[in-house]
Amino acid sequence: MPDPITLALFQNRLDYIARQMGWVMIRTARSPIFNQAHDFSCFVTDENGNLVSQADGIPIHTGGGGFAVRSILKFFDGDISDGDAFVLNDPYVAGGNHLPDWVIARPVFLESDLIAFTCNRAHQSDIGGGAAGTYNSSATEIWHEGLRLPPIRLIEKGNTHEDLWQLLTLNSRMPHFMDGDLRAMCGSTEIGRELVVETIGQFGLSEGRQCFSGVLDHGDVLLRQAVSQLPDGVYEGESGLDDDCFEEVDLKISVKITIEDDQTTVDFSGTDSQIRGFKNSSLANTYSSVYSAFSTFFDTSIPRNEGTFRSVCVIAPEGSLVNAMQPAPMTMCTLFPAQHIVHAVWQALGKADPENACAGWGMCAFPLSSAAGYDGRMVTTYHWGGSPGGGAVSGRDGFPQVSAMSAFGALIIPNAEMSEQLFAIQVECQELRCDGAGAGMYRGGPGVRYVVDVLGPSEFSFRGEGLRVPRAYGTNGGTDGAINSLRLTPVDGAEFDAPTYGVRNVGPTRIELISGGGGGWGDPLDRPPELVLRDISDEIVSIKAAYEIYGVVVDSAKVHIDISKTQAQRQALRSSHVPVPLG
Amino acid sequence: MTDPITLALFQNRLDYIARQMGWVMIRTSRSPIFNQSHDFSCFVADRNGNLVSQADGIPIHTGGGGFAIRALLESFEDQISDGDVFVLNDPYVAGGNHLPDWVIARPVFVGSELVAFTCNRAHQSDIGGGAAGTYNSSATEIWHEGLRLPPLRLIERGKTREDLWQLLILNSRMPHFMDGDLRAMTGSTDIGRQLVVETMERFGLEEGRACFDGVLDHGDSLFREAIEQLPNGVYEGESGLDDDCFEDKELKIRVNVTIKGDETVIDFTGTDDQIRGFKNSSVANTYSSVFSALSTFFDPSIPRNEGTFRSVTVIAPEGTLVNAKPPAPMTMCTVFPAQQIIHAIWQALGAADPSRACAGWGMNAYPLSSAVGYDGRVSTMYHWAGASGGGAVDGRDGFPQVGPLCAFGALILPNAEMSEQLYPVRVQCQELRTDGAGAGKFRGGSGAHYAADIMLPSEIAFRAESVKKAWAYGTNGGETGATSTVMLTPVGGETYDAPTYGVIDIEPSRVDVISGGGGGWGDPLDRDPEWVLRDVLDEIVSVDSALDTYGVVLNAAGVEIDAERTRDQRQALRESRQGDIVD
Repeated sequence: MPDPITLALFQNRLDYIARQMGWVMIRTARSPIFNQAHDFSCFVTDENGNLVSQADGIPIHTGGGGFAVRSILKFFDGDISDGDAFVLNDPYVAGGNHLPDWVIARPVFLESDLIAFTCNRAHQSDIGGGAAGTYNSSATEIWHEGLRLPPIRLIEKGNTHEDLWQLLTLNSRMPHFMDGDLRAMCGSTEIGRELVVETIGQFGLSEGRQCFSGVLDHGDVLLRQAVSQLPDGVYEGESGLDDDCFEEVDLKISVKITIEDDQTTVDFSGTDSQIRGFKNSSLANTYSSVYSAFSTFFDTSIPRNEGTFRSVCVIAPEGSLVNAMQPAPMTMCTLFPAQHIVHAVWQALGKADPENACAGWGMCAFPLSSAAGYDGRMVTTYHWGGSPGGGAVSGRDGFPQVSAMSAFGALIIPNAEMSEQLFAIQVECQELRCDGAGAGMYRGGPGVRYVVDVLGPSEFSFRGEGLRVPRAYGTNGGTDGAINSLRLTPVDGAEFDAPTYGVRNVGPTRIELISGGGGGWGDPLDRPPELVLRDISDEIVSIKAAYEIYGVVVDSAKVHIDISKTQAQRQALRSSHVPVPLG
Repeated sequence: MTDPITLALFQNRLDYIARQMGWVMIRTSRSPIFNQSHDFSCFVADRNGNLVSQADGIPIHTGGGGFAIRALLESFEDQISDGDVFVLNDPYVAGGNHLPDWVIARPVFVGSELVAFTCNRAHQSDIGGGAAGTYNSSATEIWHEGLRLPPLRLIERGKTREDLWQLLILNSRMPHFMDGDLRAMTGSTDIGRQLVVETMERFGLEEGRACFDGVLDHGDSLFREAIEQLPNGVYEGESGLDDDCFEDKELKIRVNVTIKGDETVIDFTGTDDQIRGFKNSSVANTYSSVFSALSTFFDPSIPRNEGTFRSVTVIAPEGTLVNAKPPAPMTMCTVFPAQQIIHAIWQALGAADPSRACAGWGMNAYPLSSAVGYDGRVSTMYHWAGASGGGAVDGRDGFPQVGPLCAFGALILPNAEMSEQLYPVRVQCQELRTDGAGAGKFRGGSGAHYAADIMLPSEIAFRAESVKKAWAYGTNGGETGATSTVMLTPVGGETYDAPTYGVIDIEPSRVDVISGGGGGWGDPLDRDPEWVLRDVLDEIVSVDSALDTYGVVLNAAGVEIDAERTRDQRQALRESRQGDIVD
């Protein structure tokens, strides 16, 4: 058994390799979704498909990465060679999370021994299906969502199957992107393979394999230790969805977390049944969501590998929102219900350990618009600039604006100037929102007001959650973040009533998205008045809200806190919980 | 040069092989669309991809078959081995006609020499895309229409690429059908391969190859002889479409046929631009349609191979309805505009040789309905029994009811009892229509009234042409056949007119199709009164029409002809026509 220092070095080395693969990808990929937004993730598994490093990219991609590699092992049992590369995406048969995320997995051999897989899961720019840009929010079956890939050997002993390659690019509206992106994915995993070979070569086969088991065991031990600190018990959490993509329906993700000594059971019994629209979760995505919730709740020094979650038993009833049966569509799942799953698990864990409770995050409501770009080729604009705010934790306000929660900040909100060069759009404004943040001792992120002109006729894919009901819950006395609001104003003056979900053709139009805020942590009356003053100066909190919610009184120039009035107001709010009128 | 008797034997032998492949397919395929309806066609091409025999199945499948083989020759050049099998469907890159028709092509080797390809083009039950059953009449891009296949090597030297096979069936809503159907397709082409090898061995390689060239040359010279009989000149033809699948539009297929000596030029310049909906034609389909029109117009003893059309130049301007540019959808093309192309050419040729003129056929208007069937699996029912009537020619009435024109009777209208066992439907009626037929010395086919109860909620794909306008033109004084009508009546609800194109979900409903009649040939007043009496007894012609259109007077019981009054009535009708002209 390798000593702890060796193990730490080994884990760090693998994490470095995963990041190196990511750097290669970001420098060589062709699509803006990769080189601008980093909607991909590189990871390493052991020879049995256990995720060992997910240092790069997006937790929702990598957490369930082991499912993908294990499905390759099952399909190609005993028939895997050095120089092979596999591709897959299907959530029902191939351990995929949703169809747009394609996994390239490359086996790593030391001489004739299979020792690992280097992998890259990346959200393709287009995979056919009913809507450009992969989000067909009108889908009611998985066949409406694009090309389905079982595990496929794309490269065989170093030789690319050109016919398959053509098949893949032919089924994309953006073959010029996909061709370059697949090359970048294959290249990044090859760099990863070389580095893993080098690393294992240094340790020797037997010691290297022990290191793989060792880091998994180490993760297992650390999470068990963390869970042991929590009182035994059953803790409940719940989060809801606005609709089934077609009509308003009350939909709940319900979870019961049972902690018994160092064992955890995460039971989704009671969660609603799968729906017609594409907000159903695959098993891999549900596991990813659960792992993400755990990783973010506990100490960040605990490794995020699959060994870490050995003591966690997930119960995801078949036919429910968290484990849908064929042929339910599920492209939205990496956002929703991923975020709902994370929220529900956080709520339950927060009951076991309130100090570490995480407030809810705002939910993304920005649409995608697709049109022929300046070069005459089809491109899709993700209006990332309309992302919502994150939730607060003890000791830190929520991120002002952060993309889909499942990415935990790893998705990069692209530069507006670059977007204007790439797409036929003009960004008019992207500014922090006033009074969108859930209040608290630590407040939520405020969200933004994002205004953009889409200059040509486009196919819009709407995917707006958190437009009706606030989902960004506050915790420990913090308040909820505000909901999103989305308005389209077509240039021709026609009224346009944007649906929450659905694909529509729209002429040149202005989009105005006021994105939701994150939830707050702790009592707003405990927030240091200087921080409230700064929020007022930054136009994140209004003078009125400062007074009524935070009990902070400032002068009209917004530069000084009136300390005695503030003390009086806070006293009044505490005793009455009815604010004294301003002035 | 091989002698004519040997060539005739060789052509017959190849035709037999194509038919034998078809029999294998019909006995072993799994989908009703194959084993009930014969919506597939087997053919043999020479080693350069020239179609040599298309004796089996449906002309629209096989006429452009050479395009498919030539595409795979281009993709795989000299990397084709004995035991390989290829699959393709894409109309833009793989010589396909439309996406649902998949071609399985198997190279035939004698020793190490490539001598031929045995092929099966078959309309799959489902290939994913926007609607079950392959007809997504809401499509506006080819990616809405299902899986696109470039030329792919499915079997390599006798070894099936299992990962690719899984990919194919995973992208179908009916994998249980597709798996069996692909096996039947590969099996039938292997039977064909064995028989071609056997034939070639009998002739010897050199003589066999000379025979391939010989039958092509023979077709060429026979067709040139037929063309030479026609007067030189430029002949025009035209046919139209009801709409672009979304709104009413004036859309025309226009053709100029120039005959000069033994050469023919078919020029579609003047045809309207490609449209938003899926009635655009691929190049392969346009050639198939042209070849079909020519084959059916001239003596049936002329072989139907690709040599036959060597003297024919087709001009199909890019970006028009007959040669659409990507990404136009085109699944409907084998039916429409194939029929319009054939109609336009028939009209032009009919102007060159009126005695051979063919009247127009009724256009099909029956929908497809898809539901989860009794076995819990999705199945699609083509309501073939609502097919229209054929057009008349000199010497013969039109077929009473026949599948789409492009199949020229090769599609089989399935047994209603069998349909009731396979699908959740009950067929209420399928009876010949009264007064639907275009009148003439030889009248058109009558069309039918078809009514069926769809007993489960279903997705229904409408694809109805000739509902708004009558396209089954009469010729040589014959009249135009009637239009079609499609109605739906939900259980307990009001009857309404179905949309012409589009995919909708319905509750259990009755569907009524009153299908169009074929056009007539020659003056109705020249029709043998005995035949008119028989039509009246068969309820194909009403007593009123017999009197007003055919000038035939029956006795009071309606069972005997009043010869004298018929003479008078016909005389009166003839005179009144002249009066019309004088006035």
